[in-house]
Amino acid sequence: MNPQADPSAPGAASSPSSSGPSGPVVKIIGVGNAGIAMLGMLNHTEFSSAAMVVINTEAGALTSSSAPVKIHLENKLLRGLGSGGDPDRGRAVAEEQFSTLKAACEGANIVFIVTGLGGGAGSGISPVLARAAHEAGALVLAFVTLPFHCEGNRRESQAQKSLEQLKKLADGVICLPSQRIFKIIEENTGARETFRVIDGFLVQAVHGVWQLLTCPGLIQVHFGDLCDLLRDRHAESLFAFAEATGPGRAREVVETILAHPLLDDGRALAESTAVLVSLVAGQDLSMAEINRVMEQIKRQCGRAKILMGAALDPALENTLCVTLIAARQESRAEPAAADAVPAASSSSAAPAPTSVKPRFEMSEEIPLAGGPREVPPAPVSRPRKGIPGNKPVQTQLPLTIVSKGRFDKSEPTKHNGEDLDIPTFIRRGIVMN
Amino acid sequence: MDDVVFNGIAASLSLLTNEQKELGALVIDLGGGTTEYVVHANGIIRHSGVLAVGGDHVSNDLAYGLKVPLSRAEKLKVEYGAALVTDAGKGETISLTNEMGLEFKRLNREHLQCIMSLRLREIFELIALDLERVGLVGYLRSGVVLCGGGSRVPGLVKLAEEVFQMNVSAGHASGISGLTTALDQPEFAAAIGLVKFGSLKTRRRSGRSFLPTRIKGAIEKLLQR
Repeated sequence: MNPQADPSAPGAASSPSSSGPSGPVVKIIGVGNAGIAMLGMLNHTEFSSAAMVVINTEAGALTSSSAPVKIHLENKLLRGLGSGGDPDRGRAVAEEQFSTLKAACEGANIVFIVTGLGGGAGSGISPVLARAAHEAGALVLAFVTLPFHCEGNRRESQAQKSLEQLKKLADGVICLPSQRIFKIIEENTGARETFRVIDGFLVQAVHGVWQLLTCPGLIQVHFGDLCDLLRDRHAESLFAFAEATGPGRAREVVETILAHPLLDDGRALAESTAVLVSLVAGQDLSMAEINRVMEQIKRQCGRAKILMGAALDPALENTLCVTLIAARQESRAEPAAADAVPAASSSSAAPAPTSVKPRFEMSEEIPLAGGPREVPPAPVSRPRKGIPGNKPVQTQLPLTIVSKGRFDKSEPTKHNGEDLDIPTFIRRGIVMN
Repeated sequence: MDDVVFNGIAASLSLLTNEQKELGALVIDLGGGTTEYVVHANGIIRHSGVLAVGGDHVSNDLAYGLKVPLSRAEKLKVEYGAALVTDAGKGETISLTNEMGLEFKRLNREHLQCIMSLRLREIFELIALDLERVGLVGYLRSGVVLCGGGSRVPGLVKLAEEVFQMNVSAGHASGISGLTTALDQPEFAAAIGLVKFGSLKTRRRSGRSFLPTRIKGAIEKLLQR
């Protein structure tokens, strides 16, 4: 019934935990069994300034967690058995304890929700939690996994439904479909190991975003920019993480990251519409290295909008870490619209995620140290050969008249204002290249 | 011509058993030009509809999307088509050869499947939407039965399961004598149903009094004059 907050633990609900001098107060909240497992994998020393909270409907998983704040959502309906894989029950109990959730988010600037969708707790509680965090005045970024196909239609549709809700309620959603993992793991990898790999990927993403937001930025990325980037695009995101040390680290790190199995030999990058690149390195990071890494990645990313950030972490000696988050637009909105609005927005610091601010800035105008930097899309006219998925993307004018082929002369088949004679993939704006 | 019957009803006549009609079933006939669907529930026909979208649209989409002539698209559909993007199709290329046997074009099989999948999914989604509108989804306890030439597309049953979230099966025409393997084709379901309908008609007519038909015949004669 009540939050079982450990009184001795730091960062108990509503008191902002200690953080860097100017860094935002971040709370990382794991929801459901998957969320708890993922939170357990986070390296606690590194996230020392973040408050960790776990929420679940089952007491068993909560006790095994090492997070300082544990919230056990329970009511008579659940009878101590958890949500039983039913998101409606999870949602009901979360709504009932809305004030508890809100109190848990109090005092944070940014709330990360980490969970696996598909079950009862993750899918049911997360959207409510996102709303609670909003009401408590925090920005919300959700990191979620989607279930495997083999887990059945029901879980899949539950996960999809919850994802839709989360997209509306959270400022940004980074989502990893578990099914993709099959491309990476060996055939006879154990089930437990497989789940660990998936959780590991999500944890890497949390880590990457965390670094981006908290490390002293050489080229800083604000949370608002990140949310802008993710908005409407988070149907499916991919992330890759690579690190390298030594003199040839810039080249090495790019090679590793582009060969990352989740990126489909770079095909995923070519298809994505927004890419976030975060570089973190020790004090010895040189501009030439940043340039080299970005040059390579930019070349892979066809028409994607690229947002990059660079930060220094004194703890990383001689090491260069690159985190890459690629998001693909799947909504029906015309793909070019987001990039085409030439609005010169100021690079003011205040992140205002609730208002969509189109930014398209000339990179020369930005001073080196401040403000987010956006790299304009690489020119598409240069034909390059040899690398798969690196085909030049043909841009589309908004007013193309689609030929209807053999149905050109017949009466159009209208259904709810849609002309069904036009190929579905064109109406849905799916690009084949 | 003696009578007219809706194609979809004819198909359901040949495919559904009485038990299925009693339990509630949706029959979808994916034809070349149109897609018909009929809902049976509690032993009666509850709903029916036609979409003017069929196999020709799939071919047309392919011709447009893959930039090949229609005839070639038709062939590609039959040979390489699938209702879902298969793992095998990913990264596979199809090379087209001209009449001399020389390769002149390469296609990505994933694109082909993706185009088909989107179109077929849309057809199912439109039907599902319509059934939801009339509130008949809960009645389909025996699931969905597919027939028509379009139902030959590999993976269509799985796609339909995904959309409708219930049991889906490919229909088998039953209750007709003859070489079953020759007649048990999804395309023939409607035709077999027509035969059945005709036989039902005549049986009913012979059982009834002659009066109605006689009056009908008299009126027809009058009109023909």
